[in-house]
Amino acid sequence: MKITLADQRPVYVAGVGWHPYRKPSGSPYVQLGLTAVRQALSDAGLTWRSVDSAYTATAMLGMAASRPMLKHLGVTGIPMTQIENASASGSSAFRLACLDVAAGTSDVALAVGVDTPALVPPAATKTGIAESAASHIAPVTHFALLADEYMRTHGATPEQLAAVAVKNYSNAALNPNAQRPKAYSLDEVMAGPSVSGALTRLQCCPIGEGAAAVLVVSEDAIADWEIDRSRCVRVLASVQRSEELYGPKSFDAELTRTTTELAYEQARISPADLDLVELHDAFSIEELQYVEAMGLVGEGQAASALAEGHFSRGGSVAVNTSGGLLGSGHPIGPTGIGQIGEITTQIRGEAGARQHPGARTGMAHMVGLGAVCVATVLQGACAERG
Amino acid sequence: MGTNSAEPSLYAVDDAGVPTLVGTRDSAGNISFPFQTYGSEYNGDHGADLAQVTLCGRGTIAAMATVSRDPAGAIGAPFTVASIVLEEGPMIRAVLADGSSGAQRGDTVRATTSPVGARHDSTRELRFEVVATEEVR
Repeated sequence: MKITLADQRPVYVAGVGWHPYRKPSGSPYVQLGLTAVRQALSDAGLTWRSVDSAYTATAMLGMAASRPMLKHLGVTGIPMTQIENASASGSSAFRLACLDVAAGTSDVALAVGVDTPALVPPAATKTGIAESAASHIAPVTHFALLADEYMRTHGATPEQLAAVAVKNYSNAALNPNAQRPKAYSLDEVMAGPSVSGALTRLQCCPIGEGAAAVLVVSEDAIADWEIDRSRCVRVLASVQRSEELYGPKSFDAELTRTTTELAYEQARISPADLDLVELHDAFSIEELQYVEAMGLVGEGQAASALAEGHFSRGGSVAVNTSGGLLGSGHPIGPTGIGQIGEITTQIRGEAGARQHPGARTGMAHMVGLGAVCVATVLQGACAERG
Repeated sequence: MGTNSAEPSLYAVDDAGVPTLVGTRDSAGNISFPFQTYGSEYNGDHGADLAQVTLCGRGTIAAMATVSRDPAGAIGAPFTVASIVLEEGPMIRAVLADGSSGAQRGDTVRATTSPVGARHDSTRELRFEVVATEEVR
């Protein structure tokens, strides 16, 4: 019989930390990663000696990144594993840390994402099967085509597309870890140089360097290490799926639909129970597609709901309070783990100026090349199921 | 001098520059593009259970985008790409031929080729061009 995370012992996020995302500086990844890990340990009130296992998400560093970094915390001999799953690397590393603790093989697991930009061709370019026009269709053009299809199907406008970026930059301006911590007006987003189709430069996420870390703990660890229970956030569900055959439909959106439906079922919640969502907005069109695929709003209604403030801080479900990938940046390995950190911070009520009132239940979502999708549901103690 | 395909594993090109797209048909009749023998995404058929099938090279534009900045830079931006649903079912992405500025979603297009880049000689790359309305009828 197969079991899910929800069928196993409870797991919690007890500590979060970052090295701010930024343009490449030439800093060694070790410096970035250790900054995030030490911040997460301090946040949880834990020492490195309490950590039983470590999962390092990275897509661009090369082989065996963990120990050359983590040994500087004091060698303990714990199992260390690198996780590469394209944009979803961090989400997958966090999922494995949760499953490790839920199964009882660890009481405290570290998930850390760290990357510095490097040109790493996707394995899909080495399959031996050519792809039509592949050299002319960069990721931004893939999403420009989806944007064109969305606008045609639902009558949306380029301005409504750009409004996603305006909202997310307004959140990033309040996030000290964001790569683009600046608010932009609609005119500024629209005026930027066009890259492909309706997508301007400010509707494309920046890829830089950075790190994010979270500590996943069991009930036993909370008791044994006297962790502040009031700041622990429960992981209710973790689901990972890969692309199926959807015909000409947008595979990222359909994959998101399938994955989040399973996450709701596992968490025993409905979309209406979500207070906040961190989702994969590498390009502005994605947010409109995914909030619909997630069931947060009806098909074709995302743009009007956005304009009405439903996805803003203080709205019915705040989307990308961190600034998302557009505003925070997308350093690849850290991104999914940073989402968990943001939702944890919001649920704790510790997000300061970008706090979404009443944040109790949140979902993190990433898609990655392949395609893969990971959805995680987190919930604060006040709203835990009876 | 003969005519060469820029991507021989995707399409052949005759001396008149007309491409022939070759797809894969599995034992259940599912068609995909391009031809390969690793295995069918639909049912796992592989090797001899997969057959080559010549595609008609016609389809319908589902979406378009004009690329203004192209990091690869092989053909020089701006150019227009499209998602095209081929008549046999598969959806592919392709560059539209020069002179397709009036193309619209829903238009019928057919495969053609264009000489490319520094190899502006006998090597031709796949493009799609709009089929005139009277031809569609």
